Amino acid sequence: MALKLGKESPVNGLVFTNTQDDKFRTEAVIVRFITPLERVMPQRYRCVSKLLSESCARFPEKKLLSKETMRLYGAQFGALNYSVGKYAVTGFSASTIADRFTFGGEKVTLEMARLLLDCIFEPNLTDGLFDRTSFENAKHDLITMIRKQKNNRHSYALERARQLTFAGEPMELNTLGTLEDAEALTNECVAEAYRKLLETAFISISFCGGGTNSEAQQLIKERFTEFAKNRDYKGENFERLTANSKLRSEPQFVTETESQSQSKIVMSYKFAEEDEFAVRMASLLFGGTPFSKLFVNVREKLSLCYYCQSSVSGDVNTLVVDSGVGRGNEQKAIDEIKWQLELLKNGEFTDEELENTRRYYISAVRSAYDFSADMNAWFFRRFTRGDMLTPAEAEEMIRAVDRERVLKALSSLVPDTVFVYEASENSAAENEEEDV
Amino acid sequence: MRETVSERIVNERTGDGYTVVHHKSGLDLLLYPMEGYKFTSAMFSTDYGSINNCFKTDDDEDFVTVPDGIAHYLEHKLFENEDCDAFAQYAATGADGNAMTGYENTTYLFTCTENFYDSLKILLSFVQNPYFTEENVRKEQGIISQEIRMTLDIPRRRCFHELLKAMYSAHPVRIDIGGTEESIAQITPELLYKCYHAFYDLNNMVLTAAGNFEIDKVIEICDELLKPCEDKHLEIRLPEEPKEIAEPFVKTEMGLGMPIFTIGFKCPAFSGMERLEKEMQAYFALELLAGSMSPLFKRLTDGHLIGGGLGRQFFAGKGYFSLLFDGESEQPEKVAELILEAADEIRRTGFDKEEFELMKRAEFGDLIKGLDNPEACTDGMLSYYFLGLDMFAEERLMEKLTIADVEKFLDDFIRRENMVISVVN
Repeated sequence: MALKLGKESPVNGLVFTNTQDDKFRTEAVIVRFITPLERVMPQRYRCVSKLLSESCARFPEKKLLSKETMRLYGAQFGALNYSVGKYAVTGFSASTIADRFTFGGEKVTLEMARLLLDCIFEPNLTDGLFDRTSFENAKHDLITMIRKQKNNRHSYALERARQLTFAGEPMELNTLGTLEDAEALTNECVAEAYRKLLETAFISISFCGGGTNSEAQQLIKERFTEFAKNRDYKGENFERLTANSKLRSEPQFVTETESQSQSKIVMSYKFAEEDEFAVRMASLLFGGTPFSKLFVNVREKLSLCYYCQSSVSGDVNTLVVDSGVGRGNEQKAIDEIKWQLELLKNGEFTDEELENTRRYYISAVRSAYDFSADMNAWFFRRFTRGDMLTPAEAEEMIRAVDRERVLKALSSLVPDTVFVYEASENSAAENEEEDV
Repeated sequence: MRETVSERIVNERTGDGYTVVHHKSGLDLLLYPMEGYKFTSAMFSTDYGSINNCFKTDDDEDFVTVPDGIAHYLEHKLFENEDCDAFAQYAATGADGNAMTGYENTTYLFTCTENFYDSLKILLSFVQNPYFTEENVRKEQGIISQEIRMTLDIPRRRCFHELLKAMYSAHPVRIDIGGTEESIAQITPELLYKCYHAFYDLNNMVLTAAGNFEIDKVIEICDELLKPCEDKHLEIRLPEEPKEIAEPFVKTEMGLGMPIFTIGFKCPAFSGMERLEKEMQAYFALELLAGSMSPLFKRLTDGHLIGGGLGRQFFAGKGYFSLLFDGESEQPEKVAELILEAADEIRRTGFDKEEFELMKRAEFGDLIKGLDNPEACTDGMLSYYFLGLDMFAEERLMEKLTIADVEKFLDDFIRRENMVISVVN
């Protein structure tokens, strides 16, 4: 294995990172535009990313762009939209096979880079506006996505709990935005958002894969550096993107009822102090592995659920527990989850459990080396935390986490929200009838 | 007992390859060491899934029918040994263990970045040592009931399952993999042992691994741990499935924010190499008919009849084969009509030759990308093995694929009389 790492920031508001390992046969470029997470603009940027990923002046229709990506050996070309802390990330990822695997030695990685630049800098605009049909389709897709958020009961429960946990803070928003705002979108405001995105966003560009696409990297670096030199970037020069959410003096308990087969429970906690690796160890010990306290007790011992797990939001100081239980068992599950946390806080875990958890955690971190996309995600996550720690360096830090630090992380947990998305009485009866 | 022999499977174009070891115990080992990797993925699988609910061995006078969902229940219970469970054992090696039951197969897997051989020993040991008691079987009912209820709350899965019930009137693929809360209540330790001894025979199983390991060491562990099984002459009975669909339209109310649909076309079943040929024809037909290059896709998106794309896939196994389209729409019946119209158009004009060749090229790119990923390699070796093929068969077959094959496939199977629409509101 020969991992090579690089980072450079030639102009204010622009950063390039490079993670390459010659064992990979693919090459990818990920362009991320980072902007504040607020109510209106991220939704518009999402619409922009959809439009830019489906056409450009050279390939003005989705069909033509699709043919071109097929010609580049099925190059994957798509939009990215998500939030990190108080920021929205809007972007594009493009990947294809290394040139040496093509039938005739074609420079597909260079062609893919040109295509990516065309989509970003030479969109299909007429008189400053996007193609009318393409815009209407992107708007329709956005409205569909917003409407279908409630379709999946599990993910809806997580999303609703997030809104409740971060109420009044930017983190309560998501990049889909509201249905009302989506229905009011116009071509003019989306075209304006495109210009604003280029002018005001912090730009992070990552290259990952085998590292055989030096010409492609050069082309992208030159084009973006030239562009960034000519804009007047007034935004932040990010050291980190993570946010700290305020602690709640009293936890809130919210219940909503839905016609469904199973109740979903989401419980959030916030960390008063940050010790990244100790916090993650604590979460894994609590409910992040198939031998964790929640798995062994809530699932295996009490047979209350199929899943009961905890995870840490790396970008906000929050730990989330989620589970699905039968109607009528909600309080029993909540009490058991709280009890297991209480036991952990009191040091009721063995050294063997701690070491097993550490081993599990290290294995997950190490595996990033063997998946090109994971490697990229790893270093972007590190960028959001303001460092370039390698998985090997992180491994050493995980090894240094001792029992006291885990206990300190656990004791800094402050209960925030319990959200119960309860199965209504009628739905339980309906299901029983169905089964008979 | 046979002698252990090995053979090498090579992709002639890229030079990649893996070793097939026909182990003396009766088990085949598919082993793909990958240079420069820390990560390893291993899968121990049996050719036994939820559709195998009627069978006979030398122990039985006649065919026996077992409760729905028993293959999945067995998968859950196998993790529990007499002394401790497999998850607790994996915890000491750092491996991440899991299992999955499908319609046709059950697979026990782990991934790791260290202690691979110790984890492999755990895998081979717990799968070969069932331990079922009244108490531990009863305990699992609550967990699996919640798993069943969880899947009932997933509209996409519900839509697909309702489609299968409308498409197949006899084949057990119409029954959900997990069964029902009523059917799993009938499962006993005796029934679990019966299914175990019928299907967990090393001659009916395979071990696959890809990543960071040495072949000789894996064989050594297999020599030590694999217990040769007595051939019990397993026979499986699948009911005769009529070629007609059971119902053309089904609707389920779930109170969704956005209605979803699955549109399916029932095809006759295929096996072995013919199944792979038909799967490839199906894949190309679906992409060329409804992919992002197609006029149909443009019609559907420009008409706002779908939002967020149109999913396309074939769904095939022993005794079943179908083509599926899914998505979100307020007008799923209109979407179905446009699919039929587009198929008629292809019958008149044929597919675009340039697009067909571009698809082949893109598929080749996807095959190369898959070779970067140990989990994809393990999964690829496994899925082709149960068809009696190697994981590079698809590439060889693709070279021979003609546009006429794909057009014929579409002409034969995308027809109104084969079509089922499932809608969830």
